[in-house]
Amino acid sequence: MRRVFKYLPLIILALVIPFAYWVNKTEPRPETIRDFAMDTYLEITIYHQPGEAVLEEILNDFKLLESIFNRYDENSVIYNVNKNAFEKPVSIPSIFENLLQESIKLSGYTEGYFNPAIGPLVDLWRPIIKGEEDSVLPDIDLIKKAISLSKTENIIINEPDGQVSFTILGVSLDFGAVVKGYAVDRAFGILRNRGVDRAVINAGGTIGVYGSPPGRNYWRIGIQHPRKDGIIGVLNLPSTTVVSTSGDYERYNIIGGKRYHHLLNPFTGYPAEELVSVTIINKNGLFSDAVSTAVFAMGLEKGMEFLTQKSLSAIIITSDLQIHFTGEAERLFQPEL
Amino acid sequence: MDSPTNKMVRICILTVLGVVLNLIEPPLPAPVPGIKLGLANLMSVIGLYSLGTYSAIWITILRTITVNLFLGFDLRGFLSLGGGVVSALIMEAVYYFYKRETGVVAVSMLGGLMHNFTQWLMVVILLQQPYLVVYLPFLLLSGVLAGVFIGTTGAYTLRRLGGFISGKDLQS
Amino acid sequence: MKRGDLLIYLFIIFMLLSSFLIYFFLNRIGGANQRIKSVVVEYKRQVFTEIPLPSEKRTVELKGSWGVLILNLDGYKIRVNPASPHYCPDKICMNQGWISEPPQTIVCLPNRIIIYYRGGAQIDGLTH
Repeated sequence: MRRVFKYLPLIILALVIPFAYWVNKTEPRPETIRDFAMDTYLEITIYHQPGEAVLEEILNDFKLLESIFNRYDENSVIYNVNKNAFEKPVSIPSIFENLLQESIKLSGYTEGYFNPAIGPLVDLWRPIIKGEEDSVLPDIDLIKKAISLSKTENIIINEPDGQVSFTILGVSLDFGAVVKGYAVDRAFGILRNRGVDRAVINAGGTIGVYGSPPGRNYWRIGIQHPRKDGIIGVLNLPSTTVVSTSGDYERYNIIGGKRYHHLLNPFTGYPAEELVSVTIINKNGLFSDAVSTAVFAMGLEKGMEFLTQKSLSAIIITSDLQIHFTGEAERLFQPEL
Repeated sequence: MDSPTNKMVRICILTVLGVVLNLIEPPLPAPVPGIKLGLANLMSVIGLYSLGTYSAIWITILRTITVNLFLGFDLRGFLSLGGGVVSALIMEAVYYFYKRETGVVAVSMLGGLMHNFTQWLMVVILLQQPYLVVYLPFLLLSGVLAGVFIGTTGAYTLRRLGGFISGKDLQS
Repeated sequence: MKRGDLLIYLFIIFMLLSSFLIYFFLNRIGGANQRIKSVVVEYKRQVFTEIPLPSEKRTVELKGSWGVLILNLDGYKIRVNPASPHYCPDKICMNQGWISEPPQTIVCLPNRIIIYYRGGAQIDGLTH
């Protein structure tokens, strides 16, 4: 009895250590994949073993979205819709219908400042912003015409048949502003199905952090400084969040001292002025993307009012590099010194 | 009175006290910010010096497992088990071989040092993050300081209550 | 104090001193924090080359899907030479200038080339 008593602690240890080791085994090391899809750079890191199958699944989903929503690809669904939906209703896959309906809802939510039917305006400005040779600033009449085409009311969704049609010739859908956030949401769904505990999804600057951070209290997401290299600050995020930034520094061209960028105001038809960067912090990627685009177009006063009224978390940077916060953003933000 | 059952009961009582200390410590203000005292280790030291060999390792293992049952077994639990067991084993060994040449405070300081050193080593090996070496000096120092506190408190308790805890008071 | 205590104290002092020495030594050889280890160039999901950093001033030629990019290295700084003769069609990588620390990356879409730092990551991602 005495002998057993003496050695019992060691026996218990011998039982507990393999158990604890097994528990610890479930703390996986990160695996990262980097590639291109949806006309942008992707970086996916998951804390899951084995990770390759999940990474491939997410990447393939991104490529699927690209094959549906790339409006410059003649084989894509959206190209076909934009080309033919006025003449006859076009059948669309359920992903397309889903994103279209969510986008129209978000367009209403943002009072039209986010607009999935902004294609005609985008096409008008695209040569300028890309800096193509011989491109000239679009004529005001053309802009007015494009604004009238860029209305979500011109889209008719026939839900039972899964078809979409346009009421006027020239309507054109463009999900460029939200497809990355939508892709992040779908990636989160895959992570959930596969039982992944934590991951970071970077879809061309729209960043989703999933689950709790590994061995620390916060995920740390840097926010690009709008006018120089490096970051303006860091967001400390405790759990699943998507951060989306709209900035005028990404795709732009300077003509006659004026910056023409890709974030268009759907009401004036011109690139939105006043703000240089809007970052939205939300659980939902599609929402973050749509709202950051909308608030950028709204400008400071209207944007702040909108965000405060809807109690959303955002960081707005104006052209004089003043930083404005709404909601929880100030608490999460840590300026870079 | 020196039966295994008697010793086991006394070990269990100290274990339970350790569990309680373990659970109430986090909300209490730390004497020096950033340093975790590990008050529960007090019970291991007291056990070792009043009940003799094997009691510290017993108390440490039982306490850590019980606390982890409360809080959920995760990496942190694994770390505290490893640190606790290694430090208890070292204190046991020093007590077993050099009982007459060493005092409670020094042994407790050694225990504190080895506790934090083991935890650090486990993090470096398991998480493979060698840059964590920057924390080592601070961790070791805080382990030693905690050991000083545990040791002096333990010595004081033992002087007053050692006989009561071991049951030797009842024999005389 | 007992005789054996002295040995214990000596051991403790030894451990503390050596840990502080390691700490200061690591600090001297350039930041005991997570250090940048290397720069990795990936082409179509494959590691094309990995160069340890800091590097002396040198250039590396990278053959991508479109053309050849010339990479300039200097210490921890990296850029795509804007005067690369075989230009890349949208020139974003060439106009980006120097990058100096993670998580900055150089991404050349037409060439399918990604250039990033290994090690030293202080943040999980960069929103832009």
